[in-house]
Amino acid sequence: MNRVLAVIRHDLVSITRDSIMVNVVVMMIVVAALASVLRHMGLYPEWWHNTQLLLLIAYMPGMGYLFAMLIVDEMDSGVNQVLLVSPASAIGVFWARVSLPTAFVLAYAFAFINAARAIELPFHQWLPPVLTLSMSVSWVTLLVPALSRDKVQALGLFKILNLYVAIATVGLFIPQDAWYRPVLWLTPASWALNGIQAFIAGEDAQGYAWSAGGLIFFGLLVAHAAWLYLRRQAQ
Amino acid sequence: MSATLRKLVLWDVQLQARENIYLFTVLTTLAFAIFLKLLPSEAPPTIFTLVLFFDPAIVGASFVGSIVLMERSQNTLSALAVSPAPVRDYVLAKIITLTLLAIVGSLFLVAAAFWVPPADMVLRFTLVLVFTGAIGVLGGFLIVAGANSMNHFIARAIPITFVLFLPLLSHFGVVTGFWQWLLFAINPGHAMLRAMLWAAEPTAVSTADIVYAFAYMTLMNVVFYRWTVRVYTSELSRVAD
Repeated sequence: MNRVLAVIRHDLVSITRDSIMVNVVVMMIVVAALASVLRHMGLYPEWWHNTQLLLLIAYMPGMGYLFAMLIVDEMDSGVNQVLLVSPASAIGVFWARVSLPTAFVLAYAFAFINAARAIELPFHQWLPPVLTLSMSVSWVTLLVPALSRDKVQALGLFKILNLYVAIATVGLFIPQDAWYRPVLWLTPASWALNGIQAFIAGEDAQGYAWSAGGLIFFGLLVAHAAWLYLRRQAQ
Repeated sequence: MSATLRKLVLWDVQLQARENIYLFTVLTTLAFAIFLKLLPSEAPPTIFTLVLFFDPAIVGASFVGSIVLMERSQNTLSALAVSPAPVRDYVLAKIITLTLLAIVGSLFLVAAAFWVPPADMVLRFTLVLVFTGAIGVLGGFLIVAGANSMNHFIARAIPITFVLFLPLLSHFGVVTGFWQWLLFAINPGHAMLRAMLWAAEPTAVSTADIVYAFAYMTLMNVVFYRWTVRVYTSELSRVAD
């Protein structure tokens, strides 16, 4: 356990050394503060709903990318190979690297939801769709290093994964009865959005059903990414 | 084009193909095209230009960062430092290849959004994309200069991107009139958005907007280019020492 904690401490040092975490956190606080101020001043009410959902979806894969890049950098520099033959449990490191950014995005998501208050839903209704969205973090953290050979490929792959999640936001701008709306179901983020929209409409059963479906869908993607990641590590 | 520059361009094309940059761009462009196709037909041109501004029109900015970092770690820059290739050719080769990528990808999106796009619209977009693509690549060069990891590069890019995106407030009419000039005229993002909006819908912007956008983008390209060549000349001479 101590060895895994040492790896995590190293990750945090790496991230803070490049000021990345400071910049990310400052930007997140600015966004939350801005949303909160606009909401409490009553400015641009027609933007609140979509902006809150857009922001909720947009930042999560990026957090996974930061941790993915730590692993890619380690693969480039040989640290990853050293880590694999070190006494630190590979599975322990794997879980720590997945759970740390996930915990961070979950904490921020609820802080942001409470600060902005653009959509009023109780905690137990926010939890399932936000959990679904937060799985994009572990998906990106694992899949990027599992499939990329170097930094350039990691960046290109991240762009695709990010778009795959972000494309769900199209659902906010198209008519509810559009015949092509089911195309968006190909991304689990869309299921989470549908869950939130159902809760807002007061259709709780549908809200839970969409969220649970999204959670299973994203869970399968994460399981696949984990398998690819561990296979790559074993190689 | 000198023989050295031609060789560097060909080398960059090979490198970008080997690193699957073209494949990734095809996939992201397709995703953006799907996004555009799913939007309601009455979506205003501001939405289309927003999509271009998000990535395709400045696609080189992020890729050049990762390429330079990779070249550093593979000691390509050390080899370049002792080769007869001038730094300006190294920079120009990446501007040419990645700007072409931005033009091709963005024009595909123009075709997807406005099928069949009129010839004058294609010409306008091509002209604008030459400027935005080059600014993106040069901006990426400057951000990655001195960065020691991808996360360091992203750390620098985050606040810059945030500032660059502020003119979206003017783009969507939240800030208008005198205030948009006061707040955003100095921001390259404002010039790029104005120019792209002109390319999509010439009547949506004034003549002053067009003159400002092209004059400012030209100035930015000249300043960024000279700055980049100076920074990388200094870096390569350090590597050579």
